[in-house]
Amino acid sequence: MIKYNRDVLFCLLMLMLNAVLWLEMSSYSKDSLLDYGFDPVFFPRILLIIWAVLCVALTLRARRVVDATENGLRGRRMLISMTIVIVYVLLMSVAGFIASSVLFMAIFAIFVGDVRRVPAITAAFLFPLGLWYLFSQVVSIAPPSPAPWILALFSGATS
Amino acid sequence: MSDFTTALVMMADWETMLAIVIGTVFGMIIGALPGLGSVLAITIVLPFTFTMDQVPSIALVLAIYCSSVYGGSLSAILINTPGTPQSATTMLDGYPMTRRGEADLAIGWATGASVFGGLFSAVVLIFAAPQLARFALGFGPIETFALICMALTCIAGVSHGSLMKGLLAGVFGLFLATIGTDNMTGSVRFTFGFFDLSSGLALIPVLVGLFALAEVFSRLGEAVPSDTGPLARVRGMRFAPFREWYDRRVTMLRSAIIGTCVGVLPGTGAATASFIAYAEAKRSGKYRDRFGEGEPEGLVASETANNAVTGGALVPTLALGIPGDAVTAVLMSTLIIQGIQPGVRLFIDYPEVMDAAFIALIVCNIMLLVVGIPLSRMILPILRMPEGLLMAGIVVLSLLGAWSVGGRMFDIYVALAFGIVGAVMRLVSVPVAPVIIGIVLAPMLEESLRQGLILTDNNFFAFFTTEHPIAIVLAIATLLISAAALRTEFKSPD
Repeated sequence: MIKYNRDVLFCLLMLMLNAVLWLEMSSYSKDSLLDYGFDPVFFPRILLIIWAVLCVALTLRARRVVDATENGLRGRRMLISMTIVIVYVLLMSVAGFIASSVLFMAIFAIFVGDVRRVPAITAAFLFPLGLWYLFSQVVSIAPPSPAPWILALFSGATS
Repeated sequence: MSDFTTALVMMADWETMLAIVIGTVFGMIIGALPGLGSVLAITIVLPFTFTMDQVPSIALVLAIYCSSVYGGSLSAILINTPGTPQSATTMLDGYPMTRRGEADLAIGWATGASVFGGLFSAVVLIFAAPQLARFALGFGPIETFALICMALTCIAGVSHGSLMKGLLAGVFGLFLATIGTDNMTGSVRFTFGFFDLSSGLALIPVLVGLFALAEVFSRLGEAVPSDTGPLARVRGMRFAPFREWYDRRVTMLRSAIIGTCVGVLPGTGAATASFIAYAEAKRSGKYRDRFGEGEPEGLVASETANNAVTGGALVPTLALGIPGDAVTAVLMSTLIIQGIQPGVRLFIDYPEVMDAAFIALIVCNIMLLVVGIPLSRMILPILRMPEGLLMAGIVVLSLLGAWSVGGRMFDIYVALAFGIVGAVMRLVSVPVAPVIIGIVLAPMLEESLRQGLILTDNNFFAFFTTEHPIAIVLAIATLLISAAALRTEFKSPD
């Protein structure tokens, strides 16, 4: 993948997003009681126009060709780490903070970070538990708890 | 009781002092770890400030700001890898000293110079910020609009090379801030039917995504690990005799002035300051012939300048409410979280809090010395920490920080989404800092534009008439900066 394409692809992506936002904006009707001379999308409309103009200008300017490998990019490793974080976030909404974080830290450190198993697993247990204590007991912010059906499942299993 | 006495009482509180100590230790460690830095360090601790009082929370972030800039010099000296870009020039003379077996002396020079630079700029801030705020009290919406436009152009153009990419990032940030309820009409904008978006995007999840998660993704996507030199032995910190410091006083003073002045300019930052100060010292320094071979004067020039930026950068942030870079934008959001709106009325509305902040800045700089002495002995094992473990820890801590804003999974999803956006932006060399600055400045920009148009009967060109001379000057400056940046950009793309 060459940088020329990366710039162009990015601008096209931004232009598509701009079009979606423009469509959303066109759904607003002007309410004379509320507008104080300007409708609510007066300022965002100006921004979207500048946004589109800049994207077109950047697409036209993107003429220098640079091989991406020169920048030392390991796209696969980046994608794997993103996927693991996405799975972690989804798991957190179900299993809660502690269980998901212990699993995430162990897997991330061993498979992405190439950390040896013993320190990785030790840190994976200690760090989330320490954070849970700090947030819930010291700062009084309760970290995400498991979904109700998971709690019901476990309370059913123990009773 | 006068404002100053009240401020002293506020500062004498144990919670404030503890916040400064913890902030200094944390900032030094994060600053020393290559690739992390001030923005990430402040972003991580921001959620903890929710439950803190105004003065301790301000003291905490100021301590992190000062110490993270200094922390970058430790890794530059010890492992030949600057912890932050602003310490790149520190490495040039710091690491050769380490190779000569003088790591402790190099750390001593770096610490002394950092403390001097930080204190110098703090004094300038104390005198300059209230004066600038008093001058800007006469600014109406039109002048404010012109000022923000100039600051955004400066930041976009100077911060990362490409003006157009910087502007696109800035406009993207401005747009993000329009999501949610419009303050003037009460209408809900760009929510796509999601109730969670009706109050807009919270700043912390966006910050966490763009700076913490994106940093993790980008670092793991880098193929070549940084080339570090052989690990040194550190016996702590040692100071050179007073006469040697006295010999280099001109360089120190000059670098402190350069750092403070560069700090005041939007979009430039500590890295630029240290490069300019180092180049100037190399041109006119007493020991210029020995630069690059482990000459303390080079180290002193770099470290004095980059720490002097801290106070300088706070001048426009506090006095005008306009942050010059991502770090001051995050710092400004800390004040906003605490219910304090930086800007021209800051010194009128919160005089005792501002006095306390000034005292805190001085204490934070002195604390570099107090904490630096024991920490310099322990920093090497921290620098050897496995990267994978560190990155995993940052992800967990950052996502928990995003959660703590409102206790809802939605904020974690926002952080994740912006993590991916930030990684893509880095991939295509689009600067991330203008996004945050755009988000922070958008409400003020929109309000001033609308008010200005009401004042001029919807005539935008009436903004730049002889009735508003300051707006004309700022508009001309904006055009000149844009023209210069575009000229450079089209000469050599990227």
